[in-house]
Amino acid sequence: MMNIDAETVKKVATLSSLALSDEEVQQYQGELSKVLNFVELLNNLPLGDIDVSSPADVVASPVTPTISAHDKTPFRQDVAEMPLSREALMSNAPETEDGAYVVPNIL
Amino acid sequence: MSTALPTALELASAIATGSQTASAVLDEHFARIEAHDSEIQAFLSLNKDQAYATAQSVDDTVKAGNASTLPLLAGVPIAIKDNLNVTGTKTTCASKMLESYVSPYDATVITKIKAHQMPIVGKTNLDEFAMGSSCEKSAYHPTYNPWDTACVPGGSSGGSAACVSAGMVTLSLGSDTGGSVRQPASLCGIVGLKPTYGLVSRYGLVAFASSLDQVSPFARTVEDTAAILQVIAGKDAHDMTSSAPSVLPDYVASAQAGALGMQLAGKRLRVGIVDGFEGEGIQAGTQKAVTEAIARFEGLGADVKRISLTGFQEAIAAYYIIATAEASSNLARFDGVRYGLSEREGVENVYDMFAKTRAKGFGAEVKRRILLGSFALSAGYYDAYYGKAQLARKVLAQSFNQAWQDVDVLICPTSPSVAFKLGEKNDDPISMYLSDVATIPANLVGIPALSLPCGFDEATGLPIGLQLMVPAWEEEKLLAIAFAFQEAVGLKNLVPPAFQALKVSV
Repeated sequence: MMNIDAETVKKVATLSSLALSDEEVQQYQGELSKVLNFVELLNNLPLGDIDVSSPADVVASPVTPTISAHDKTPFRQDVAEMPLSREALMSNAPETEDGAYVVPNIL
Repeated sequence: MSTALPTALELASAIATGSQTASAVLDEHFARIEAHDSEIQAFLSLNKDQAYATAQSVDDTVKAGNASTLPLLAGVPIAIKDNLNVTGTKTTCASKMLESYVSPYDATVITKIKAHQMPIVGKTNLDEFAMGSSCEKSAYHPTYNPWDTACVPGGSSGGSAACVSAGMVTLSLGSDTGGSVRQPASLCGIVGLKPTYGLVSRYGLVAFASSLDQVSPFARTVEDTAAILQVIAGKDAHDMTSSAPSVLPDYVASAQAGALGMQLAGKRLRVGIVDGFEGEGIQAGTQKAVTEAIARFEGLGADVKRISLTGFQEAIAAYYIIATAEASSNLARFDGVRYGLSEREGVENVYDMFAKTRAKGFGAEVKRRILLGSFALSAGYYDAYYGKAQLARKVLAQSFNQAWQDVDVLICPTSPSVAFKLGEKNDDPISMYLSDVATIPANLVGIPALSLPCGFDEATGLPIGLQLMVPAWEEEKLLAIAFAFQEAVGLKNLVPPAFQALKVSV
């Protein structure tokens, strides 16, 4: 059984830049534990001839069909484009000044 | 069983031959939206001015005697899921985070739809950021199933499915990350196609899980599905994962080749029934309809055998790690700096602004998935969760490749049950996730899959969908098989009786 403690939820919330109330921490503690226990069924999967010594290598090799079917590794020319004007790009910004985004103090 | 409402191809032909104007077609569809959307609530916003301008340009072309230059589906109204960017329209993703966001650019599929002069009538409802299977997780309002308004339309593309089902449009676009087009198509009695990963550009689709997302169409017939696929497919320089032959096949002609029956290059079609869809967890009515569908394939001359796919049932577990991991990364962009909600009152610094903006802007399901994804990618858990999920994905890809040695097409129910009641699965995320058990595998391995009606549940009168899966890039074959089945079963262009009164003339 995988049970997540409140500290782990808080740590993951920090990694996710999400402010959580104490009630939410408690709620997600239960829900995430439930989902992670469900995911345990992956442990029963027969892996056949797949080399599991390095999951990272498996992750790096794509299973989606795109790469192999019509292209080798897709390359393109590195040509500069200007698909949108600065004004259009910044039209949804909460706050701007002199063509730059304004944010609260960083330090 | 069919209805008097015209299909998209019939509308296009009426417009091109001058028996009906594009503007009048649009009038009649907006009249249907006006009459029915207060009950169904499929739309988040309408786009009348742009739509009428497009219809007018089609009518001008016809009036000038140049109808022969009109592109495929010119003048046929279409609805767009509200996670696709359309210049000058709000693109909210059904989230408070993007309540006031106005798209400054067109998604590539929208550029193509505009080039085909299809009026965009409006933007449709979804589960927030496409995360859900019922359309109840929209931050604005739920959408209701036209077959029974006490039931959900499915999701996440519930709005796009419901508006096609209720005849408010003949075509719409959704996005399918784990079944978000096929499952609502099944629950609403229409056709939904998830193309091969890469056949349709994702540029301008607000990303949920980039290795799984695919823009996907809805229609009420297989031929209409083929036609809209023709419009949106193709390689795009703006999406480096897109990939397609330089000349696309003629998908409408391919679909209609299915009229020849269950033959493939002169050989009997080999159909595989995916094991594991009997007994517990699968509704009796759904099992019965699928059993009848299998018999129909045999009756059409196909060879039918059962196929056991290693990892098919486990795919859902892998999906909820991979999809949430990718989502936790993709949704990091909503930080209150460049667009969307920004919480500035009483924040101490920029990091505080990020955290409070995201706390306020995202709904509970979105937060749950971001947290799960961040957890699965975090130090100490990465190999055990994300790594293992990718292994499961590999196992699944191998078992599909193995299956293609023996069969041409795999079939199973699209959804374990017919449309469920609103609120029924809200308390338990796992039971909601399980409604995607049959659709998720196609996303994980990138293959095309289509859902079409195969019957009705006797107990509830609700439609049941059959899912067909084929190897990557074999959309032509998929459409031909689907067309043959559609013609044999006789369920096409379905609109619930309550939505048939208002006519659309051709």
